[in-house]
Amino acid sequence: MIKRQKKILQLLDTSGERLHRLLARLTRREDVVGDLLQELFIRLWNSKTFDKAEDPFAYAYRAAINLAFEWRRKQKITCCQPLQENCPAASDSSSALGKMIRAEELEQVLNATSKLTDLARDVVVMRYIEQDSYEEIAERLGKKPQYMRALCAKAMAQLRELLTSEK
Amino acid sequence: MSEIDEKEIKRRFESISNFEPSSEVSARDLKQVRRRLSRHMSGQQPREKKIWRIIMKSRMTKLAAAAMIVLAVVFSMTIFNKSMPTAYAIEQTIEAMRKVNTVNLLGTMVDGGQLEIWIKVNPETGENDYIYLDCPQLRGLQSPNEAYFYDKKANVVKHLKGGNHLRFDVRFGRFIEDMFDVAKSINGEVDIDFEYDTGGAKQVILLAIKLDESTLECKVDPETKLPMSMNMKFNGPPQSGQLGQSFDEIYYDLPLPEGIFEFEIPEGAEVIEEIVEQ
Repeated sequence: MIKRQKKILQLLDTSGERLHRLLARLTRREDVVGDLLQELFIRLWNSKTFDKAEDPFAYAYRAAINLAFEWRRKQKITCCQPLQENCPAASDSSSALGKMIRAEELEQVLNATSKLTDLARDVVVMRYIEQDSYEEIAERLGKKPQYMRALCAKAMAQLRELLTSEK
Repeated sequence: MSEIDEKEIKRRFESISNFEPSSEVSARDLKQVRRRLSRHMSGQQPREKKIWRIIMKSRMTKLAAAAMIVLAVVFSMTIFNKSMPTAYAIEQTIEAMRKVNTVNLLGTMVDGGQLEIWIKVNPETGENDYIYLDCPQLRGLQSPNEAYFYDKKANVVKHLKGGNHLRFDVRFGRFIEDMFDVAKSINGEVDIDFEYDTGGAKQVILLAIKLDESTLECKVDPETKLPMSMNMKFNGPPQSGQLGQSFDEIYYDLPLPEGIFEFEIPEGAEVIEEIVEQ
């Protein structure tokens, strides 16, 4: 039990910051990250499969992505009326309206990402948000880099379709 | 319907990846998660907040305005409540305290600031071998032969070599014994009673040492025989120089956070070296 405690606390000490940042990016909410990080580590503590994981960080990393998208799904989704494309304030990123639109665009892409399969979603997050290389992603997920590249391309096409249909 | 191309999607992802939580938020969250996780793993749940107080002593007063004064009070022991619901042997608490290796105290300062203390107890002597203290004004670290005190506002670190500079009036590893030693040399009273603790939803042992101007209360968990809290109640205002900490929660034998007793000089801080003769 003590060994397990040490393993989890060590993971928090070595990778807590990175996991915290990942959760912050996926939720885009600093105020909820602390609670989610706590939830993540309590889940790890209660998880039997975590003990069998060869790479505890990789396991925690995927669990964090899962948790963040789970959180997103629980949030009340508000639909916005699309703006006319020639609205001048919309293209001005420094205006309040422009900032709101940019923020909404980021929410849209994250919500679309949540509709991908778990594996595709994880790969997209690792590649485009965490900017990991295909080799790093492949190693973390125990797959081949070429497969990761192909999966990313396919996911991107799906995202394009999802976002276009939303517009 | 307008198309969103891959470039636009990548641009959006890049904006998301540029988001960095502030270092303060990150540090605060990590600290809090560690604390809560440690408690969760050891099966200890936080109790309801109460006003616990204790006085500490330190020689850090020259650096930090907030001085800690010694609990220079000694009592004589009188157990006057003869109708206790069950027998309670003080030796049980003494014995339980001897097995403690680490103590984590969480409290609130007189000014409302939060206080966190970690102590590593020497099992042989019961002395507080290593002490880590963090509050809004300062951070302190005491190891057997040196101490660091960091005045956060002035950005000054005082590095004191030799001796103990930060210490409690009582050794946490010998808390009850020390309390009773103190009790022997002053004409005070120690009451032993039972009280229902609403936070823990159970009956607890209450030790109270009464003085002219203050009362020190110590609640003891009847299961573990370990003190749950210590509460210094003053009849008047706190004495000059007293930090007057109130400890909200006390935990024992939690795993120590990694590097908790390693002091890192903050960036740009002035360091004052001092050798202290004992």
